[in-house]
Amino acid sequence: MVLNTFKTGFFSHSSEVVQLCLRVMQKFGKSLIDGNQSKPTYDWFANIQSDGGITSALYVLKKHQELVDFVVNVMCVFSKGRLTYVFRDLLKSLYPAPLEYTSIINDFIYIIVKNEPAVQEILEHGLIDQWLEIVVKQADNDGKHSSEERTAAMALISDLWVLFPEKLKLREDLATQILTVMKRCSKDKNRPLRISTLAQMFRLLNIFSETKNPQAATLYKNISHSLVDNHHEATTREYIMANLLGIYQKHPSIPVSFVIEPLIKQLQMSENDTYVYGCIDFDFFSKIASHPKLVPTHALYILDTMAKMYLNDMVYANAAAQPFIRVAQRFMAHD
Amino acid sequence: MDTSKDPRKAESSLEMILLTLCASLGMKPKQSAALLTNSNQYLLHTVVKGLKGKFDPVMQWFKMLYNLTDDFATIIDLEC
Repeated sequence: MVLNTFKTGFFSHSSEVVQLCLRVMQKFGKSLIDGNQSKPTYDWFANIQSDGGITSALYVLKKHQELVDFVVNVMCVFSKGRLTYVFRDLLKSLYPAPLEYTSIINDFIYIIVKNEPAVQEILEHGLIDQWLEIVVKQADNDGKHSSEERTAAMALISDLWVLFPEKLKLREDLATQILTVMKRCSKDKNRPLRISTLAQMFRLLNIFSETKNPQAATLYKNISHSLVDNHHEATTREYIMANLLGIYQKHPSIPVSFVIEPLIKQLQMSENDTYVYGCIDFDFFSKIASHPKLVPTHALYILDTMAKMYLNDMVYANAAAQPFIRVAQRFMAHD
Repeated sequence: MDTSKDPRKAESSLEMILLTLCASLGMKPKQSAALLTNSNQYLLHTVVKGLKGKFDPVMQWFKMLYNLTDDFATIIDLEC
């Protein structure tokens, strides 16, 4: 009865009242759960009927999204010892659509990680592994999930990897599986999925390079393959090139050869056929020309290709001259 | 019921709720009790829309509840 009286605050039109109510519930719930009323308190909370505790707490998010931190903390208090069941099964039954469930977990996970006991509990109970396994399947192209669901899954995978890198160091099989799915999504026919996956890949590469994560090399190779695989799609190619230049600027120790060699080969093979080059390509090669990790062999590839373009393409002759001059100036003294 | 009684000295959780409602919403015990009828329907209306449109008394009530959570937990233990 007392909990039902208190929970009226969840439905208030006033954000301040709702926030106060959530604070009351968090403190009161802790007293009850840690005391002798653990079971009845949990039973009240875990009732997924419209008047149940969890349903009422989640109602707050419909009107006061800004209070999500408080809602998650209340959920963590009332679900103590049963977090895996609540966040996996109960939430799934309240949000049966994969897109909704994935998005809500994505919102919640950033709040859960700030709660040390909750993190400890979900790690011990293997919830992170279970979430990852679910979303990897959802992200993969099994024909059952829409591109929106796959995009949301990809975002959650990346967030979980960023937040729990140690977990994926222990689960190399899962890390490999994720990288494979990412690679596949980065060349998917659906452009929003493709671009958002690439965005996540660059985000991870940036973090992994800073934290010396061993998966950075595989991720970088996958991005390089994706550039070649998407060479015919100017928007995606431009997106990858622009992000690669950003990465090279931030992490000059990353070798460029993984990208240059296959890209130049592809360019030579399908020039003006499937590879319709543009300004971004010349800008890319100009900047690569000054990269400290560019080796003479690959510099020669660039020289050769740019020289051909200079001679054969009136439109881009001037643009092709830029990277050519830069490479030539830099390696002039070289044999 | 003596509305000036300290809620901490209430003998049941219901009395404690009524005392807090009387103190913060400025109501008589019968009026407070009426709020809890029909599965808290009238209390819900007050909390959702404010008391005559004002949320200050409602906030006052929740602030009072916040300070009494341990006392509520103790009295619930005794009732069970």
